[in-house]
Amino acid sequence: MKAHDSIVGLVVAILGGAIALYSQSLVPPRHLNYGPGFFPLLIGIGLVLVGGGLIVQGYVTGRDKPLFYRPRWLENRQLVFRFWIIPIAILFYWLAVTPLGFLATATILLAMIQIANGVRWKLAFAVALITALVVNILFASILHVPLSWGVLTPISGLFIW
Amino acid sequence: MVDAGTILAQLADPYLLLVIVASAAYGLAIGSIPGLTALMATALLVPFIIFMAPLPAIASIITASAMAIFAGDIPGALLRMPGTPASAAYTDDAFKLTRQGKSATALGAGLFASAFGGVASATILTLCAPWLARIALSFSSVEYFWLGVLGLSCATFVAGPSLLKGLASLLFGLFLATMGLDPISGMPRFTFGSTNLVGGLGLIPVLIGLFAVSELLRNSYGQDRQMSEKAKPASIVKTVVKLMWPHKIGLLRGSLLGTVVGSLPGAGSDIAAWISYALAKKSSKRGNSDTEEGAVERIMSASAANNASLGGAYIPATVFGIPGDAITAIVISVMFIKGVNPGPTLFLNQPQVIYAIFAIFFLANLLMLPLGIACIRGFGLILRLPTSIISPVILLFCILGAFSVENTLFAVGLVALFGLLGYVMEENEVPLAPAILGLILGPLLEQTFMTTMLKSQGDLLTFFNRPIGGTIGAVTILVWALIIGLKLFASRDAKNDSSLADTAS
Repeated sequence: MKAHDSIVGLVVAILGGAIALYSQSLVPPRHLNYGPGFFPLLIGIGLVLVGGGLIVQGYVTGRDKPLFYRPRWLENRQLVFRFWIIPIAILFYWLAVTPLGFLATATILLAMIQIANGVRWKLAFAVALITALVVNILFASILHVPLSWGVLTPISGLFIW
Repeated sequence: MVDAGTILAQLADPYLLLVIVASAAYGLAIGSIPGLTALMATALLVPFIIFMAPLPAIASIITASAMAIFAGDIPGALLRMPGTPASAAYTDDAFKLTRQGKSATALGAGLFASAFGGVASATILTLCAPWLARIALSFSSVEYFWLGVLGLSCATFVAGPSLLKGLASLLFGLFLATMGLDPISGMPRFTFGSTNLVGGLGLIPVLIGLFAVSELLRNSYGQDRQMSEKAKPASIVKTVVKLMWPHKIGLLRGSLLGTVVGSLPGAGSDIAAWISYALAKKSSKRGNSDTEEGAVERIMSASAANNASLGGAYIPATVFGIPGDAITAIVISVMFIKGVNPGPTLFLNQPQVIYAIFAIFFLANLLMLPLGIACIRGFGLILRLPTSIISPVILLFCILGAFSVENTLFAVGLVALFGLLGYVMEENEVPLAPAILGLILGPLLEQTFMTTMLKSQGDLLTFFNRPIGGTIGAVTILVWALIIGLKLFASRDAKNDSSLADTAS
């Protein structure tokens, strides 16, 4: 989704304003002239100025442009689904990895995206399971990353060397 | 100076050599898949190398990034799909040669020029870095502040067509760097009561999100890629060795330019390749012609430049601890985690490590020749892997990469958040590189700025009192004035042109 330069400028200016305001709540320690809020205040002011510049620039150079431009792929439901499946998959991993464990979560995640991309489900699950297994062994046994086992804890001993 | 025997002994370690060869194969594979950049190859390496000793860890990044930059030429030449942005400059030339049945010339020229550029920049790095480090030892907070500002300015100016959007990205990155404990007073800022934010935002999750996940999001609605032509790399060595001598000037120019551009903070291999390509086309008769010879000259100049820029980027990284591009930013983070603190003192305290790093540069670039030829031959196999299967696997590595560095699920959430943010930023032509460099250089900039302000009790003249610091400061301000002046002139010219066109019509 592409927005008009003035909208981008407005977002930047609002962010800058919020940072500048917040930085006012950071009181400097008694013995220091410049406290923890000084540098963020400068950044906030900078963002407000840059945002203002973008609003003016957008107004001067792009008056005839639409405020929001909808790319064509947004009309295709399947493509929209393929796009959103990526953040959804990360969210799924975040929520599921502790109760389900890495192996099960990674298998579901890999299969889910492949099926969304149009891969046949049998092939998708086979590729997902093999990849998840190899990655699990690699990270847990060789690199010693503390991956969660969740419901599969009883069989974890088989895969950790 | 360090004894050459000590360095050779370090390099003879079979484990190190195995890591170098494996990283080379990995870098070639990633670089030759269109859409996956050298930066992504480096970011995805982090979860593996974090468990290695310092030298193999750094060797792995150096080798993989050099190979990935070259490998980007392969799909560029054969499919007109540059594997990495650094190869985009000469893709059309290389593809034209392939269509004439001369893929061996196109790819061989890229390969040999890449190796040459890499070795040349490694030589310059080895000769200049210690000398610069001696000067850097006399630097105070003022000099470091101005160097940081100069680096960030360059990053912003070269990032994209809009200066304001580059600045917005840079300031946003600096803001992200202020999250966590204040370096001077130790007070928490922008943590919103979350303990996960007290230590600041993790660099790797933000980096993986902004670059890798946003790239996956962009590729998600594209078409699946199909191989259109097979490589015909019959006699690369024979063809190219004959071409090296006539194009020596282009090669040398590209290597030197690449090293200089690479050493400027923020200007990466893609910019080096574009400048070198433009220079080969504009300034030499040979490079300006539409013949095969002209194409080879342009490919060699640009290809030498993009690999040379990698070595150049290590000059500010090792000497000042200031990353030249996002790849060296990752290298610096890994060096810190491994207890090898980049900066001038590294040359005093651990010279054997720094010279071993330089030696790895030579080794990696020489190794590029046999492995590159093998990769060109095996290219068909890599490209036949469908993106619908590869992209979920890359996403899993992104998640694991963030998790294994930070060991919290919060990092996984950051990957999703910054992935979407990176996508929205790029869609709106807000460049990502200034934000990343802002996040990396933010703490250094704030600390040196606040220290100087507190020392001088707010006297801004202190920033110009010292000879080196004052000079860098003056240069920085001059660069700003020049760029803003040029932008104003350009916009006035454009306005005049359009009003003239209006009157004419």
